[in-house]
Amino acid sequence: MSREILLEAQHLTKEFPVKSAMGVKKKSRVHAVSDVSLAIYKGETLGLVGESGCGKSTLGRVLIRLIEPTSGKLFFEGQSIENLKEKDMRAVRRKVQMIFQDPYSSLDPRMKVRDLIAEPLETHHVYHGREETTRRVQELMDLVGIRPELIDRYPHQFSGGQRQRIGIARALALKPELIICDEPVSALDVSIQSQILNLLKDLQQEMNLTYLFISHDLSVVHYIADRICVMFLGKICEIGDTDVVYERPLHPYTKFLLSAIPKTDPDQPMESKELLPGELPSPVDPPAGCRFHTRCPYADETCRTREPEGRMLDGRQVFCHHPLR
Amino acid sequence: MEANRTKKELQERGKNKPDRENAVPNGISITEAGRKAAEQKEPQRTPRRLADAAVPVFDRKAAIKAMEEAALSRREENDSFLSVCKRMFRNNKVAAASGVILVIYVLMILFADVIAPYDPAVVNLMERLQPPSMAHICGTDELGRDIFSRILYGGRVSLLVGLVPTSISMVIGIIMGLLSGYIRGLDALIMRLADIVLAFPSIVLAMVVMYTLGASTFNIFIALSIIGWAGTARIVRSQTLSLREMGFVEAARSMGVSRTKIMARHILPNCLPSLIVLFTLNIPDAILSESNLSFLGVGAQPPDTSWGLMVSQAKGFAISSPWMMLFPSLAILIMVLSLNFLGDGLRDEIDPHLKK
Amino acid sequence: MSLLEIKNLETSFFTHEGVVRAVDDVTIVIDENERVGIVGESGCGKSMTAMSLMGLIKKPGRVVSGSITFNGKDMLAVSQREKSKILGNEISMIFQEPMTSLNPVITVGKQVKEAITFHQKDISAEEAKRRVIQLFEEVGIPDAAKRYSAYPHQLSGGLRQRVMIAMAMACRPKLLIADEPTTALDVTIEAQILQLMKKLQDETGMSVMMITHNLGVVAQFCTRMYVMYAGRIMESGTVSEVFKNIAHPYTDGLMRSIPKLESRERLYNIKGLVPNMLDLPKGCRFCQRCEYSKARCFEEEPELTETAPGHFVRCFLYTDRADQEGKSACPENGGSAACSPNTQAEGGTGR
Repeated sequence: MSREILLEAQHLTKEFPVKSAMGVKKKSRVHAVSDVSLAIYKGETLGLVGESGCGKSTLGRVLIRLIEPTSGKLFFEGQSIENLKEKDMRAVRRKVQMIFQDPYSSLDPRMKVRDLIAEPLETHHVYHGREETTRRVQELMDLVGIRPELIDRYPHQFSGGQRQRIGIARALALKPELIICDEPVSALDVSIQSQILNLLKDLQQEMNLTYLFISHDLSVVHYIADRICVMFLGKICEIGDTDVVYERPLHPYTKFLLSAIPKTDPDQPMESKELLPGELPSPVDPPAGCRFHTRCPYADETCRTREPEGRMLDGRQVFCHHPLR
Repeated sequence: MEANRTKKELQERGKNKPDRENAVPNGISITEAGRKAAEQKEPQRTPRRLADAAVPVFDRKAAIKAMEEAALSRREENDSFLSVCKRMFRNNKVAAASGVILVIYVLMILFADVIAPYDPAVVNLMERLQPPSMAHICGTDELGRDIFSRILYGGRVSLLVGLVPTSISMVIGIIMGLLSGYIRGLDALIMRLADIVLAFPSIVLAMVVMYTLGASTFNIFIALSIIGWAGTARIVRSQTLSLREMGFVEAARSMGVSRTKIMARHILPNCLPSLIVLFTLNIPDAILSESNLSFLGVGAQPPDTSWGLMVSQAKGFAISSPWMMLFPSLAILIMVLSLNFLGDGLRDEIDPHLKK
Repeated sequence: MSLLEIKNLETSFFTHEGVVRAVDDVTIVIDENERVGIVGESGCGKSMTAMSLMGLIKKPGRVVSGSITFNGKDMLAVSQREKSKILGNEISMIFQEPMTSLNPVITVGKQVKEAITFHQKDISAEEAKRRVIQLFEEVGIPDAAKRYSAYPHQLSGGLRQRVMIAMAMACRPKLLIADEPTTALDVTIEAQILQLMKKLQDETGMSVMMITHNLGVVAQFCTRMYVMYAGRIMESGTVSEVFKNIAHPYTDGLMRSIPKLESRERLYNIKGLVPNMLDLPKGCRFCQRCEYSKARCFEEEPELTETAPGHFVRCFLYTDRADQEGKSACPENGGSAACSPNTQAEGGTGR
């Protein structure tokens, strides 16, 4: 199956310097994203999952150079973008938009809905004249399910779910190709979460959008993503079609993640579950070899010394010396 | 028949695209087919009794809409300056009273020509050092000039000194603070400059400027602007530093909004509440500094007068004719206090998003 | 005998804009050795119920009416001194964000020790420290002796929550209130903490009041549950009964809104938004969002009705049925609209 690649990253790495108490730069670095290569195909939803601190949000931002990568190559629609000047990046920014986790802080509290949604339009000089902009803004509000009469309200007059809809309308304003969704539903209540998920799905169909969907919630990613990429401590563990990965996870970490989800079924008692022991190691000083080996019950000498290479297995790429059978 | 109608209604609702919240996805629980399925085999997640529940026969949509309308109209909240003031009047009586006093004050000073009973510059040695009386409600000074009239006219200088240098220094401070907080490369340079200004006692710095430029009202403006900006810059910088990490600034950056626009559209407006308070606190500061300068003899020069100069001139008569010092001091005190209270009240009200 | 009885509790907040009844006529009973879940979305009053019980409601809010009886004592009437004896000793609480409830400048060991010595004055310092380390081991903190002198920021979120649990367990409470204890944690850590809490509950026989928005947590952890919405209890019963025979449209909607690993069917949406607590609907609080609401639902509020032993529901779908059961006027196989009050009357005359 030949699909068009929209965004591609090769050996992408982001390290943050650690500042000591006195503000002097120390030598140690936080390895937020380490040697990540992935491709996002046109029209798909790629789910990026992992626990907090695994670098998934950083990766999402590095991919569109909201944070500058330390090293690695980036291609958007075949064009290399990692060295573009900010002026030339604007053309790319127009095609890539972002939806943020916190619907409270991601909208400027002192701007009306009208100005919030019109901001990308004005920034990229798409619409001229107040009337035309207003019409477009109201169109967008209608599209995401907010009554267009509320155009002159401030964000604090809306609830979390409605704010997230405003954020989505703003992301859609420029008819982008790719939308990076950074935990767009994790701050919302269950009943609102499903509304937003369905909305995102519908919009994708209607407007032929591509999503990078970052989330810590595996059930949510399962629902929305076509392909899934599991991350642990700045590295990819497993990447492949959602159904394939969920059906039979090959990386031990994926398996433990899946089994840890509290199921809404009282007949499946939790005591029988096999739990992942331990906690996340520090990204400042990641374990040598496979980064998962300190928590992995199947780890052996190879895992402690050698970093696993990615290999194709059962239709997905897995980074493990001893993939599960 | 009834069932058919509702079924059609449901289908229509399902089709109605923009009204996403009403869309009934796999609405198996209430459609005819779903109901039958429910009877045949108890579905796992569909409630036993909901499955054959009643479908509405009255206009639910209208009922819901009416309810929402009512809720919305109640929540209407206005953020115009007038309504902010109104809310403040309701919630904070002290601030409201201060506002009223200030308005009266300013009006009296502006209309000094009309209100003042005497010419403030006319010397009448026959009536020198009179205590307060019906003729001179605040008494007279050592040259027999009416103190009340002089307070009114002196207020003009003091008010001007309060407003003009404060505005200038705040504009400089805001620009410096924004640049310093948002553009990392400029931070160190601007902040060291501010440190230098703040390291000198402000009155000494102002005196240096006044001695170099010569004593005049205009030069007071320059001196006070030079010493005033550093404080503002520091406050704006610290606000900018925290605001630049906020989600909405990141959102703007992801959209490709330029740095200047982010500073002007997102950061500055969000600094506004503290800037307003700062403004109301800086005005009395400037008035006091002017008083100090005048008291030290480098401020307003006769025949111009200001409250500070009046206090200064009264220093030789503080014991024998205390009213000479008392009334101008009171004028300063009331002005400073009411500005402070007003600033506090405004800050509390102006920030609607913080209250929620 | 029931350990905790909250009866017809009403907690209101008297704000500038009006009175918010955060908790309205809530009755919750918790027996000994029981794990009870209180589920609902944000703002439904689930946390406020616990706060009322702990006496932590601050101005402009206060408990307006109702009673809270814990272990035979009226919690709303006891003196401050007696209350401080009960809280932290017989009732303890753990919160969502352990970082905010731990003092950042005191070592965690010392903080847990204080919790012990506050209620047991006669214990020696050595003994107390030994107890703390033993507690740390119980809650699965590795290197317990070493962690005793760690500061909160040196621990990960999961370990901090374990410290909070150790502190809560310090005096062997009869009731543990857990307010969203796993919401801030990762899934793998969440599962660890839930398993730990279950183990501790089994061993000590205490009762747990689990406040959460996550139906999965309730299904896995609790034995009985209450579903709250806009300050009211909408449904209650044992977890197995409620999950198998969901009765209230709201609970049903919530269940169907959750993405599940088994299927990728389109998620159900409860339409609309949670009502503004200042502008609650006149009738049933859920009427605007309910698929089944009828004219009556907009006019009056249903009472809690028992549909199965111990299973209570606040919905007219069931009160109507209870009324009609005797008459059997509502034909089981008739059109789906036949049960609404209007057609009901017609059907009656037709017969």
